[in-house]
Amino acid sequence: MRILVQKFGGTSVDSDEHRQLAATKVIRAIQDGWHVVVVVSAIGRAGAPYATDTLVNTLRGVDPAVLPAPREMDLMMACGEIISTVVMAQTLRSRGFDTVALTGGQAGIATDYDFGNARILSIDPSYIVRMLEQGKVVLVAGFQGVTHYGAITTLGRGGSDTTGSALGAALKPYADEIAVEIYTDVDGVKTADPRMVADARTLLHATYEEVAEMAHQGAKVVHPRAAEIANNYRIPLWVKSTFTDIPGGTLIAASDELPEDIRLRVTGVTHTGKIVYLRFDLPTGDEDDKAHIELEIYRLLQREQIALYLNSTHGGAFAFAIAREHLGRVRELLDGLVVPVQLGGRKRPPYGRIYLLGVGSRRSAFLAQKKMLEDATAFVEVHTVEAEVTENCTMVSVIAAQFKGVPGVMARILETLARVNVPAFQTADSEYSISVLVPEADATKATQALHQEFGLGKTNGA
Amino acid sequence: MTEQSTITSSGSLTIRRETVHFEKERGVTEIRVLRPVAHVTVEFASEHLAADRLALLQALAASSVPVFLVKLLPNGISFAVRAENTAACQNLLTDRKAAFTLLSNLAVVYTIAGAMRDLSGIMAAIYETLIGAGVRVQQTGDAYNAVLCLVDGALADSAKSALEQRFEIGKTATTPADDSATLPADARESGTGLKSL
Repeated sequence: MRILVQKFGGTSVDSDEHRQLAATKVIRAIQDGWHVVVVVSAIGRAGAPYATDTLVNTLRGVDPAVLPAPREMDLMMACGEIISTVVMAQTLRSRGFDTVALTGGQAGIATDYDFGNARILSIDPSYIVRMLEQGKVVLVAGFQGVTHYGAITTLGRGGSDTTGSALGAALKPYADEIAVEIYTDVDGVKTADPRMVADARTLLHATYEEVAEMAHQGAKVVHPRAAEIANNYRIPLWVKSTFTDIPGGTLIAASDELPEDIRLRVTGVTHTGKIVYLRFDLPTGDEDDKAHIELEIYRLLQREQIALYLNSTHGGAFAFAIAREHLGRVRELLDGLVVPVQLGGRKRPPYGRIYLLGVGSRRSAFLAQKKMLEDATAFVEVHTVEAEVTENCTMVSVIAAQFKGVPGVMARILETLARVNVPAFQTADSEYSISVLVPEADATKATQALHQEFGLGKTNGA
Repeated sequence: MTEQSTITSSGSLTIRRETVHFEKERGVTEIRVLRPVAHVTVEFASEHLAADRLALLQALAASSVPVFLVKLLPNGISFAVRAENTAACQNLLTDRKAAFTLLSNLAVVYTIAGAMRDLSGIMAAIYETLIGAGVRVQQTGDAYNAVLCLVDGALADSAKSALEQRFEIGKTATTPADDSATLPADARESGTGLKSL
């Protein structure tokens, strides 16, 4: 039995016209001899009647002062995919195909109890297999599973992609051939955001690592969880467009399964939203004190679940970036923050050091604390550390997961940016990418220039 | 768990069951160490800071010296180099009459985790652990699956042990005698360690 899992995202099922296009993809696969399992996301995006956000807002709107229980929230959110799945099943039925629509639990997907962000523990695909053997098209609600005691859970970000990959892995032992196709509104993984770079090309192939790093650096591609499962179980994962008839798409697979000529390449250029860069320079230059202040800040941001980017530390200074949407909260948290550092064992003043942080635009908390600390200076050293805040930044990243042992990539990046007069505020690099913090206003210019520099356009190679 | 499909004498069908574990436990799965590496800080006196940084990176590339953990400083640039490139880097900087400091015998400690962006506070946990272990972080970096910390090479094993204990992976991990076994998989294959820039 050849089994194909086809996952359709929200925009692929948000109108009858789009559902018919999706149904045509399913029917073509059946005509090509596949047994098809269809995974469906909720209909549409925010604002659509059964979109996940709409359902969440409905529940929250009952009483904004009372948070819904996570279990009930999951039950509510799962309805979006269930409705979408049944509607899609009916669409296929109306075109003459025998279908069966299943919730995640009915499809055998068992999860842990982490409501809102559940992890798939196991899948018993026996019912799906039985239905496929009976010639039915099986439709499964994405993004959800069920706990041991029957509570419906949702899988969190990338949930429907994860469902698709996981079903592919679970069905592999029953299949002579298996593949997973993720259908979306673009025709594959792009070398850059096509809204920024008209010349952006669809990659024919990409490795799991490349896709995961692209997602990490801001590209909207297949969710890394789905790629990880496909990688672990060696399932070919395709990204295709629901809306075009162009054959192909992007095949995501392990690097040893892809052509050798893609192993030494720059894969793409991504950019990550609106970012603010904060730099703290201790007047004492004391590296141990700096570590304590860093830790205090990271703890506070952790409590608020605020993600950090571009961490950098050097001598008595450290810096990091945050999403701009968090700047207000970060100012509330950090402006006026007092970090005491013990000097230890002193019998005479100063008994310790106190660092007072200033991050606010008006610095009201900072100034109030500073005044209060004036009396303490007889006993402790008081140092003020005012953050240098660089707003209106974005992070542009060159994905180069396979680019090992070749010096000069960073130089090429900075040279390219200098050529188009884009200042680089900071850089970060890892095994898989090189990122540069640039002014937000220059994001498009920087992305276009780097895309061209590394020959990623349609006119350059495959 | 596997259960084979069989057709009984009464004709009923039992489908074999394959229970597969799909998603790894979220969180930190491994601590790896890459060493030895050196950390270089170069200061520029001229007003043309961006041009000076670029010229240096170009010179390093021309001399086939791969660098990583590159950070732009208010008055210069810092980066790391693998031990085998340290001498070449030092010679180049000396030839250019650059004002630089070079710290050798350092190590990069990788905290490997799935879905890094979904894990709030991993940086706080790492810092807390390393401070507790008396390990100073010289520089940091991150990827989709790892946080990198540059530390004193002599303290790398302490850092590794402390992080393994903190993330409850010490029981299964071992400290290999051969450092090459602690490199990232791709570094082991290429023998070059970190990606060069």
